[in-house]
Amino acid sequence: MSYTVQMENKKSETGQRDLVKVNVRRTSIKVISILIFLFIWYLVVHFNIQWPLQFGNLPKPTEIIITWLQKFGEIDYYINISVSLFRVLAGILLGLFTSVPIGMWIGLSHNKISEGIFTILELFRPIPLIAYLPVAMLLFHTIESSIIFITLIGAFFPILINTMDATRQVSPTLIQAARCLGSGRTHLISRVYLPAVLSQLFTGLSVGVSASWMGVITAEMMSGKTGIGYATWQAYQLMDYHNSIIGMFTIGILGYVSVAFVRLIEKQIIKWQ
Amino acid sequence: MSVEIHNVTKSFKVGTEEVIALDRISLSIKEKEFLCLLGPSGCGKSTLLKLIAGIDQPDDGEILFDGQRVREPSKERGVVFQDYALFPWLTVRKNILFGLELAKVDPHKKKSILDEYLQLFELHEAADLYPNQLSGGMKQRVAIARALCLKPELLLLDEPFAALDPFLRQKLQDELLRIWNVEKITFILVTHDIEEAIYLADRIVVLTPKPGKINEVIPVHLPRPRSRTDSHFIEIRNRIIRLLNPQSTNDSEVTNKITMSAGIP
Repeated sequence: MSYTVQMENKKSETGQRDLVKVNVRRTSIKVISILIFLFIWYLVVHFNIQWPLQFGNLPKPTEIIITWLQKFGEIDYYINISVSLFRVLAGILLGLFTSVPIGMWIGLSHNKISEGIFTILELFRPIPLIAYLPVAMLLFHTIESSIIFITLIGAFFPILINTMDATRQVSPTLIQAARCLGSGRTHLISRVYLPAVLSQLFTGLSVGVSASWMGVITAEMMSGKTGIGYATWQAYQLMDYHNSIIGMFTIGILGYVSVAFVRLIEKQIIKWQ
Repeated sequence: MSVEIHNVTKSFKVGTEEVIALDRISLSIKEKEFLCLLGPSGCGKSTLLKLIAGIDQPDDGEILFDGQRVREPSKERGVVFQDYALFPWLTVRKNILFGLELAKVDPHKKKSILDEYLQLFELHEAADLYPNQLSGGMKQRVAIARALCLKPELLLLDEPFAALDPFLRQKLQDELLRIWNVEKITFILVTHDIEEAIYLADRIVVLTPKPGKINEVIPVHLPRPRSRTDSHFIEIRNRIIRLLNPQSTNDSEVTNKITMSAGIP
């Protein structure tokens, strides 16, 4: 048996080396593809291409990069980013604390109340985030809370559906085994159901984070006075195209980094797969 | 320790059809006995095991454990499941500790029990691995260690070696007998493998399906370690084969059919 363990250690060592290689390859593919994209962008603007789209109207990527570098020195840029980040974070945390218990409860119970609540939730789920905005404005005293409400809705449904689904799929033998070892109801939920659904919960969370970003940007564009979404829309209305493009990319990067961050936490927590 | 099974009946609904898994089963299990529940699939042997464990309740009749009616699972009755049922998010060590932590055993004693079972099952080197890093045989060892460390009076095993290859299976059968000798508690093992039952058991309860009934209880008085080629061994085997297939007269043909279905080459 010690032999099997050694074999496994050896396997994981070579596995790690392969992993480094794969990572280097992936990163270089990413960098090269971005450079190619920027180069093509430069060419279509430089030669004033007007067909099939009016590429010539766009600013050159070099101009964007120069303006962006200046932007890094402006405090407003950081304030707008932090404001949006805070709203997304608040929405996601509120979403987690509401959707995980509700999702588990619906997944575990087979009664009329949970079925009824699920039916109501299913009616709200297909509504696009932007359509919640008028109701959110009516419901909340401040614009701030209505924006956070929109981000909460964005995070809520993907986490809910994934948690519910995963709860239903927890192996019955695992539950029986835990009960035979002395596990009671609360212990079962915290020590068996929760870790068992964690992986799928994270899948829901990454989808939820993206949806939250979409929600916050929409809400800020429609009704905000602060935030990166507001700044991007404001720049467009002032015909400051450089800054609206910078805003657009900033939003993209923020969304990308947030999802990557969620995946990183997932890897730290879920070590057994 | 005593287990008394009185007139236990259990049926399931399969679609619209009512299937009687167990039909008025009565059986008493002796202290420190190694009992095998043997039968083809669908004879209700796993259902009976679940009822004894308290995971499920009989429709009729009752099961008494030390004179008390079995109503829910208890740590006095350890269970080893067919698919191991290890918690994938816990290391081997923490899987074994799962029940001990609930039992609020003091830390010093907990550690000594853990060490005892890591030793007994030769799991020391695997203690910090996760279940998906283990082979089937090692998973089964962890599952048995996890059930035994709560010091149950009875260990219930549901086809523990069904998913393992025949060589490993024989090795683990010997290991199980060794553990049984160390622990000195009652083992009830469910199997569809005739040779496994004869090799391990003090008594074999032969069950037949539709409806699930006890066909016969066969005591095995052969001294251990038993030889699978011993003439008495083969005699018992042929007797069980005839019990399970009363119509058939051609022994060798039946043997082939049954051992093949039991997964022995």
